[in-house]
Amino acid sequence: MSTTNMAATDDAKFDFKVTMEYADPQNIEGELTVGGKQKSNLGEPEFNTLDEPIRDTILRDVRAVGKKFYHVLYPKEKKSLLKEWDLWGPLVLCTFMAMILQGSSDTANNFNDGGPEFAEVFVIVWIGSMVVTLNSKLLGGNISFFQSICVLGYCLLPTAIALILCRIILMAEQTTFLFSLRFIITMIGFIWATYASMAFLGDSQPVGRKALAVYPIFLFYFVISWLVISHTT
Amino acid sequence: MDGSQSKASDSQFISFQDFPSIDHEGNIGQAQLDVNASSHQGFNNLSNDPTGMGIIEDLQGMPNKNEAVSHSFWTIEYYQKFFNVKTNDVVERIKRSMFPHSTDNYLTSHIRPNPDLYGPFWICVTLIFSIAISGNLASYLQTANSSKYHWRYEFHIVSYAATCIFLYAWLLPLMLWGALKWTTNSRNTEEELIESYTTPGLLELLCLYGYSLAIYIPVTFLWTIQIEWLQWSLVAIATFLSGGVLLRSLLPLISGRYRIIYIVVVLGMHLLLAIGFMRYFFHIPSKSFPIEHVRTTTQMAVIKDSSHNTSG
Repeated sequence: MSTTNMAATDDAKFDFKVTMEYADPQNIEGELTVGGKQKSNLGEPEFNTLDEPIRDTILRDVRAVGKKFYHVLYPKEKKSLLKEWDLWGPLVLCTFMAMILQGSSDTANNFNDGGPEFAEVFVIVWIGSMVVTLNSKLLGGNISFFQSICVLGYCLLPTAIALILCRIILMAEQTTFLFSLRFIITMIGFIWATYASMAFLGDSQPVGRKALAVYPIFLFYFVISWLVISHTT
Repeated sequence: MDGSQSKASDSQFISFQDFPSIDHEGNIGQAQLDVNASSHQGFNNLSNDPTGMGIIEDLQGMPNKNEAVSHSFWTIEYYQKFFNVKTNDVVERIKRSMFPHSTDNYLTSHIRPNPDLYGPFWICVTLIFSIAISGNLASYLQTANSSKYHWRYEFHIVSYAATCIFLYAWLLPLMLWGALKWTTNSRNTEEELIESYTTPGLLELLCLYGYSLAIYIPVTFLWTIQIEWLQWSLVAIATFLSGGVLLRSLLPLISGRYRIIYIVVVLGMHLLLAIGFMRYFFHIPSKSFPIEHVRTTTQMAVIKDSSHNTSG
């Protein structure tokens, strides 16, 4: 993020220098090419990171992550998550889920929770999303590797929310009704996550192979939802 | 067959390689003309460029048509040919792997034209997680009535199931392929000429075995019903159906005095796999921890696997 900003400021500097030289009629050609390059960079944000407080810089990145989370919860714009990928959101979600889901292995009493280790959840999320991405690349999808991993990671948000709700429900005494409530919440999270990731990634596949690319995504969120519903105290 | 194809492609490639040098010379000529008479430049460009572009396009297009030469081992494009399937193909192959057809051979008519790795890989992964999920469900159903045993889910079934399934689906075809290659070398050449079937390639065997596991995915969910005769009959039916397809497609390709050993190994391993799944993931004895049992069975399965294959 910050490197692109630096590039943007560099461009701004060039622009300034060139406008100084603008009076010189011999350098008109150079001005034209730089101007053209500037126009192609119009999508870049127009701010200067050199003299702004560090709080603004961090807040802007946090805001970008937050905006992506919002797009996952409300998957309306199809290209919104694909524009600029980052892995902050997936990292936060994955670490959070792994921390809650990990089973406590108390070796003193020889008592095993049966839940996955922290690293196992981590590996399932990261290796899983990599394998799903590789699969869609091998099927001939036109999407970059990290874009797809970014989308798959951000779309964990509904399942993470379901995990939080389940954790709250688990604090009470367990009954059949509460279990079915947890089941419904997890199912909603699973369907939401699958739907959102399909909205973002579905278009990148050739026509006859859409189901082949969607099935691994479905399986990925299904397994994570299984971990969520199986998690008990 | 393969050799002649590659030769043909080579000759085409060489014949096209001659053209860019001519094109280059033309460019030099054009540059010289440039100095002499600038008015002719436009015309020269017109006459030179279209042919040049055409040749370059052909050059780029040619290797894509016969892709065996074009992509290096380390690129994604190299592996894309193993995933060159449509949804209909995969569905059709899964259906065919479950129900034996009387007329045509599954391997030669469906898999051999275009063996893929998509199906085997994702069927294995699906089977691992369906065993883990329904195995937990089964152990829950077993202990739901007894109040003294507090049920906890067992995540580590995933690891054991993954070891089992990937060993079966990837190592066994490899061994079978090696054994077939070894035994067919000593075969008569006349026999080979008469026979229309050739020995199956490694990719075809991998594909065949991967798809033959597909039937266990629905069966794992049916195994959660804790009725003993139903579980055993499901073992028998699943093995009979998918093992039947496996055997029917492999039988015409195997001949010679080792034939009976191959049949026993193929069918026996398939049956062993089904019984192993049922016994140790779905029929957990109530007295002790399931983990220990599962661990010993995977080890036993590995030992049996290797011993069977060395004998065959």
